[in-house]
Amino acid sequence: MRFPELQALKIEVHPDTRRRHLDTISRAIRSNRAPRVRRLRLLAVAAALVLLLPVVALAAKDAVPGDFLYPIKRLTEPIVAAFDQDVAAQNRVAELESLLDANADVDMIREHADTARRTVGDDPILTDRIDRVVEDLVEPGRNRDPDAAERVVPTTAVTDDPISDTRVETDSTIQQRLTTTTVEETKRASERHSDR
Amino acid sequence: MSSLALLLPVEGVRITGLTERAHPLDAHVDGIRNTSETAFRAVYDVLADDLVSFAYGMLSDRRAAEDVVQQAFLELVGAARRFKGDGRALRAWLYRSVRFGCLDEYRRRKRRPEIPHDSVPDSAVFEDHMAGQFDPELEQALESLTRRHRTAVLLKHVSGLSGEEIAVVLGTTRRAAYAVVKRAETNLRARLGVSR
Repeated sequence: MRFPELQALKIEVHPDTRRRHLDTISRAIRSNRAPRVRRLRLLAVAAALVLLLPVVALAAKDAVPGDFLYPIKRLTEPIVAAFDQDVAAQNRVAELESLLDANADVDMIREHADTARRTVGDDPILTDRIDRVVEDLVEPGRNRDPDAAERVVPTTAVTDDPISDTRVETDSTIQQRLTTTTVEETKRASERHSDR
Repeated sequence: MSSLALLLPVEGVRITGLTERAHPLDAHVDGIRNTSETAFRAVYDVLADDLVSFAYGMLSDRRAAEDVVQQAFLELVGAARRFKGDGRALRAWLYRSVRFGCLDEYRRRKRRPEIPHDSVPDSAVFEDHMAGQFDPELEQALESLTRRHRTAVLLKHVSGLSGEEIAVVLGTTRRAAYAVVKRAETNLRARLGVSR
């Protein structure tokens, strides 16, 4: 069945209407795309931060006041402190000693010593370490351990000593213990054993 | 109606015939999925006139028809990323969206009857283009059909859709679509025969 009458219904969109429609569609496409792009960018930044944070925190671990990464170290410290309460106090004292070893500016060391004291509180060992650094500022070299740089393991001294044969410590435990002592302390220990 | 459900084959509808042959819109389907402005422009250029003609036959109001077609494209912008199918499915999607837009317009008119756009004085740009294109006798004959019959006859004789495509747009089986088209043609022929 044919309906030639219906052919009269075939019309064309007016050029102005066509332009208006296409503009509206283009705007809709752009506004539809924008939130998606924004969301993707946000996700990319978040992912980058999550991946970079541990790397930066690790790099900032040994930073001292005045270093570029020092603020990052202070920022990440509360996170580490959640697992280790004393980390901030130990860090401040270690930084203070590093500054002294690096012959940093005296005022900076004094300022950091104050900060360290506030952080350390009443911990006697850490307070003592701070005092040593401050004393060293007054009398340079007084508290410096001349052998600190060469903490050695006197393996031959111990193994050659006949007393060492009577000890039940294994070589590995001896080595572990000795790495934490200075040469003088090792000698003193050997003397005590020989006196017995 | 921007639901993807429009795309999905209704139970029992065979749409294999829609995907077997190449279609001019096939080349733009990927662009549509990626919400490419170029692809949307190309699809608009290919389909806008046919869609507006179909909607014009449904609504007897050119301005309303153009608005419905624009709305269908805007809905496609929102649903583009979820679109599955080829060029023929894309065309069926748009026709179905326009059909639902026309049904919404019917409901809106029923709630709030108003003078059709075409009967009020328009701007100079559109006045000549829109005036006196709809034959009153044809309009009366179409008005006498049910909406489903009107849709079917317009899809076949104005838009030139195949039986399979009409079935997809109507959301029914191909056999049922053929039956609807047949009854619609018989009714329209009878109405036009009476009026002429």
